[in-house]
Amino acid sequence: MFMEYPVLAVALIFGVLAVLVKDNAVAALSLAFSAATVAGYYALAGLVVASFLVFVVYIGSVILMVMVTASMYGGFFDYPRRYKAAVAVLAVVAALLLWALIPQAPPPQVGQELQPNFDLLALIAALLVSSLVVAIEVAKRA
Amino acid sequence: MIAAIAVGLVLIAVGLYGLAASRNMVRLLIAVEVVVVGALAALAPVLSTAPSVGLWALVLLISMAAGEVAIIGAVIYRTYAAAKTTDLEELRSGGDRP
Repeated sequence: MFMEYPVLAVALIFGVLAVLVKDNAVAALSLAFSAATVAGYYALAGLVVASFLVFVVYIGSVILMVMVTASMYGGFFDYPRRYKAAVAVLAVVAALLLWALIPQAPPPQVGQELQPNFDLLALIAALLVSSLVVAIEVAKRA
Repeated sequence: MIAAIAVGLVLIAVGLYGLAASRNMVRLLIAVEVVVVGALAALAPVLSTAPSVGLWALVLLISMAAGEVAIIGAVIYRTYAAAKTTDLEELRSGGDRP
Protein backbone atom coordinates (compact mmCIF):
# COMPACT_ATOMS: atom_id res chain seq x y z
CA MET A 1 0.00 0.00 0.00
CA PHE A 2 1.11 3.55 -0.76
CA MET A 3 2.96 5.22 2.15
CA GLU A 4 2.33 2.22 4.42
CA TYR A 5 5.79 1.97 5.97
CA PRO A 6 6.44 5.70 6.59
CA VAL A 7 3.03 6.15 8.24
CA LEU A 8 3.50 3.11 10.49
CA ALA A 9 7.05 4.21 11.33
CA VAL A 10 5.73 7.62 12.43
CA ALA A 11 3.08 5.92 14.59
CA LEU A 12 5.76 3.73 16.17
CA ILE A 13 8.14 6.63 16.85
CA PHE A 14 5.45 8.75 18.52
CA GLY A 15 4.24 5.74 20.52
CA VAL A 16 7.75 5.09 21.85
CA LEU A 17 8.19 8.82 22.58
CA ALA A 18 4.94 8.78 24.59
CA VAL A 19 6.50 6.31 27.01
CA LEU A 20 10.06 7.66 27.08
CA VAL A 21 9.54 11.44 27.27
CA LYS A 22 9.74 12.87 30.81
CA ASP A 23 7.03 15.52 30.52
CA ASN A 24 3.46 14.24 30.98
CA ALA A 25 1.83 16.70 28.60
CA VAL A 26 4.40 16.12 25.84
CA ALA A 27 3.92 12.36 26.29
CA ALA A 28 0.15 12.80 25.90
CA LEU A 29 0.75 14.92 22.78
CA SER A 30 2.99 12.18 21.33
CA LEU A 31 0.27 9.65 22.11
CA ALA A 32 -2.27 11.81 20.27
CA PHE A 33 0.04 12.03 17.24
CA SER A 34 0.53 8.26 17.31
CA ALA A 35 -3.23 7.62 17.43
CA ALA A 36 -3.83 10.18 14.68
CA THR A 37 -1.22 8.48 12.51
CA VAL A 38 -2.91 5.11 13.00
CA ALA A 39 -6.22 6.76 12.03
CA GLY A 40 -4.49 8.22 8.97
CA TYR A 41 -3.25 4.73 8.12
CA TYR A 42 -6.86 3.51 8.25
CA ALA A 43 -7.88 6.37 5.95
CA LEU A 44 -5.07 5.55 3.51
CA ALA A 45 -6.21 1.91 3.49
CA GLY A 46 -9.74 3.04 2.59
CA LEU A 47 -11.23 2.03 5.97
CA VAL A 48 -13.49 5.06 6.30
CA VAL A 49 -15.70 3.96 9.21
CA ALA A 50 -12.72 2.80 11.28
CA SER A 51 -10.89 6.06 10.58
CA PHE A 52 -14.00 8.01 11.64
CA LEU A 53 -14.25 6.00 14.85
CA VAL A 54 -10.61 6.52 15.79
CA PHE A 55 -10.49 10.21 14.85
CA VAL A 56 -13.83 11.31 16.31
CA VAL A 57 -14.53 8.92 19.16
CA TYR A 58 -11.10 7.79 20.31
CA ILE A 59 -9.06 10.97 19.76
CA GLY A 60 -12.02 13.30 20.29
CA SER A 61 -12.98 11.90 23.68
CA VAL A 62 -10.46 9.44 25.13
CA ILE A 63 -7.20 11.06 24.02
CA LEU A 64 -8.61 14.51 24.77
CA MET A 65 -9.28 13.46 28.36
CA VAL A 66 -5.78 11.96 28.64
CA MET A 67 -4.29 15.23 27.37
CA VAL A 68 -6.34 17.32 29.77
CA THR A 69 -5.31 15.08 32.69
CA ALA A 70 -1.65 15.15 31.65
CA SER A 71 -1.72 18.93 31.21
CA MET A 72 -3.17 19.35 34.70
CA TYR A 73 -0.41 17.27 36.28
CA GLY A 74 2.36 17.79 33.68
CA GLY A 75 4.51 20.75 32.82
CA PHE A 76 3.88 21.68 29.22
CA PHE A 77 2.94 25.23 30.08
CA ASP A 78 6.40 25.91 31.51
CA TYR A 79 7.92 25.61 28.01
CA PRO A 80 8.90 28.81 26.16
CA ARG A 81 6.34 30.26 23.77
CA ARG A 82 8.58 29.78 20.70
CA TYR A 83 8.84 26.05 21.47
CA LYS A 84 5.06 25.73 21.57
CA ALA A 85 4.79 27.77 18.34
CA ALA A 86 7.33 25.49 16.64
CA VAL A 87 5.38 22.37 17.71
CA ALA A 88 2.13 23.92 16.43
CA VAL A 89 3.73 24.82 13.07
CA LEU A 90 5.14 21.29 12.73
CA ALA A 91 1.72 19.78 13.45
CA VAL A 92 0.06 22.03 10.85
CA VAL A 93 2.71 21.16 8.23
CA ALA A 94 2.29 17.42 8.93
CA ALA A 95 -1.51 17.75 8.65
CA LEU A 96 -1.20 19.64 5.33
CA LEU A 97 1.21 17.01 3.98
CA LEU A 98 -1.23 14.23 4.92
CA TRP A 99 -4.08 16.23 3.38
CA ALA A 100 -2.10 16.46 0.13
CA LEU A 101 -1.23 12.75 0.14
CA ILE A 102 -4.57 11.16 1.06
CA PRO A 103 -6.36 11.91 -2.27
CA GLN A 104 -3.68 9.79 -4.03
CA ALA A 105 -4.78 6.74 -2.05
CA PRO A 106 -7.33 4.31 -3.54
CA PRO A 107 -10.92 5.55 -3.20
CA PRO A 108 -12.67 4.59 0.03
CA GLN A 109 -14.67 1.38 -0.08
CA VAL A 110 -17.62 1.29 2.31
CA GLY A 111 -19.25 -2.12 2.34
CA GLN A 112 -23.02 -2.33 1.99
CA GLU A 113 -23.33 -3.93 5.41
CA LEU A 114 -21.58 -0.97 7.06
CA GLN A 115 -23.86 1.77 5.73
CA PRO A 116 -26.73 1.30 8.27
CA ASN A 117 -24.21 1.30 11.11
CA PHE A 118 -23.41 5.02 10.86
CA ASP A 119 -26.34 5.98 13.12
CA LEU A 120 -25.25 3.38 15.65
CA LEU A 121 -21.68 4.68 15.55
CA ALA A 122 -22.87 8.24 16.16
CA LEU A 123 -24.92 6.97 19.12
CA ILE A 124 -21.89 5.16 20.55
CA ALA A 125 -19.81 8.32 20.12
CA ALA A 126 -22.40 10.35 22.04
CA LEU A 127 -22.59 7.70 24.78
CA LEU A 128 -18.82 7.58 25.22
CA VAL A 129 -18.44 11.34 25.42
CA SER A 130 -21.31 11.62 27.92
CA SER A 131 -19.80 8.80 30.05
CA LEU A 132 -16.50 10.71 30.23
CA VAL A 133 -18.35 13.88 31.28
CA VAL A 134 -20.22 11.94 33.97
CA ALA A 135 -16.91 10.45 35.18
CA ILE A 136 -15.40 13.92 35.61
CA GLU A 137 -18.48 15.20 37.44
CA VAL A 138 -18.50 12.18 39.78
CA ALA A 139 -14.77 12.67 40.47
CA LYS A 140 -15.37 16.33 41.31
CA ARG A 141 -18.26 15.66 43.71
CA ALA A 142 -17.23 12.40 45.36
CA MET B 1 -0.58 -5.35 6.47
CA ILE B 2 1.97 -7.58 8.20
CA ALA B 3 3.86 -4.38 9.03
CA ALA B 4 0.76 -3.06 10.82
CA ILE B 5 0.66 -6.17 13.02
CA ALA B 6 4.39 -5.88 13.77
CA VAL B 7 4.13 -2.18 14.65
CA GLY B 8 1.05 -2.92 16.78
CA LEU B 9 2.83 -5.64 18.72
CA VAL B 10 5.89 -3.43 19.29
CA LEU B 11 3.63 -0.61 20.55
CA ILE B 12 1.86 -3.03 22.89
CA ALA B 13 5.25 -4.18 24.23
CA VAL B 14 6.40 -0.57 24.69
CA GLY B 15 3.17 0.25 26.52
CA LEU B 16 3.57 -2.74 28.82
CA TYR B 17 7.14 -1.62 29.55
CA GLY B 18 5.77 1.81 30.41
CA LEU B 19 3.21 0.21 32.74
CA ALA B 20 5.97 -1.71 34.52
CA ALA B 21 8.47 1.13 34.71
CA SER B 22 6.32 4.20 35.48
CA ARG B 23 5.89 5.46 39.04
CA ASN B 24 3.37 8.17 38.21
CA MET B 25 -0.37 7.64 37.75
CA VAL B 26 -0.58 9.92 34.73
CA ARG B 27 2.25 8.00 33.06
CA LEU B 28 0.41 4.76 33.78
CA LEU B 29 -2.67 6.19 32.03
CA ILE B 30 -0.54 7.18 29.01
CA ALA B 31 1.12 3.73 28.92
CA VAL B 32 -2.30 2.03 28.90
CA GLU B 33 -3.31 4.22 25.97
CA VAL B 34 -0.11 3.28 24.09
CA VAL B 35 -1.20 -0.36 24.45
CA VAL B 36 -4.63 0.58 23.03
CA VAL B 37 -3.03 2.42 20.08
CA GLY B 38 -0.90 -0.68 19.42
CA ALA B 39 -4.03 -2.82 19.43
CA LEU B 40 -5.66 -0.36 17.00
CA ALA B 41 -2.70 -0.70 14.62
CA ALA B 42 -2.71 -4.51 14.89
CA LEU B 43 -6.44 -4.55 14.12
CA ALA B 44 -6.01 -3.01 10.64
CA PRO B 45 -5.61 -6.35 8.76
CA VAL B 46 -8.80 -7.70 10.39
CA LEU B 47 -10.69 -4.60 9.25
CA SER B 48 -9.49 -5.18 5.70
CA THR B 49 -10.27 -8.89 5.49
CA ALA B 50 -13.45 -9.08 7.63
CA PRO B 51 -14.86 -5.52 7.92
CA SER B 52 -17.89 -6.34 10.09
CA VAL B 53 -15.93 -8.34 12.66
CA GLY B 54 -13.12 -5.78 12.66
CA LEU B 55 -15.55 -2.89 13.08
CA TRP B 56 -17.20 -4.39 16.13
CA ALA B 57 -13.82 -5.32 17.58
CA LEU B 58 -12.82 -1.68 17.08
CA VAL B 59 -16.01 -0.43 18.78
CA LEU B 60 -15.39 -2.80 21.69
CA LEU B 61 -11.74 -1.70 21.98
CA ILE B 62 -12.60 2.01 21.96
CA SER B 63 -15.41 1.45 24.49
CA MET B 64 -12.97 -0.34 26.80
CA ALA B 65 -10.44 2.46 26.34
CA ALA B 66 -13.08 5.08 27.22
CA GLY B 67 -14.10 3.10 30.30
CA GLU B 68 -10.57 2.69 31.58
CA VAL B 69 -9.73 6.35 30.97
CA ALA B 70 -12.88 7.38 32.86
CA ILE B 71 -11.99 5.16 35.83
CA ILE B 72 -8.24 5.94 35.94
CA GLY B 73 -8.94 9.65 35.38
CA ALA B 74 -11.41 9.73 38.27
CA VAL B 75 -8.89 7.90 40.51
CA ILE B 76 -6.16 10.41 39.55
CA TYR B 77 -8.39 13.42 40.30
CA ARG B 78 -9.50 12.04 43.66
CA THR B 79 -5.99 10.96 44.65
CA TYR B 80 -4.58 14.39 43.83
CA ALA B 81 -7.40 16.10 45.70
CA ALA B 82 -6.73 13.94 48.77
CA ALA B 83 -2.91 13.62 48.76
CA LYS B 84 -1.72 16.47 46.46
CA THR B 85 0.42 14.04 44.48
CA THR B 86 0.14 11.52 41.65
CA ASP B 87 3.46 9.82 42.43
CA LEU B 88 2.91 6.21 43.49
CA GLU B 89 6.10 5.96 45.57
CA GLU B 90 5.11 9.06 47.48
CA LEU B 91 1.60 7.70 48.06
CA ARG B 92 2.99 4.37 49.23
CA SER B 93 5.29 6.03 51.74
CA GLY B 94 2.47 8.20 53.06
CA GLY B 95 3.85 11.47 51.69
CA ASP B 96 7.15 11.32 53.63
CA ARG B 97 9.31 11.66 50.53
CA PRO B 98 10.27 15.26 49.61
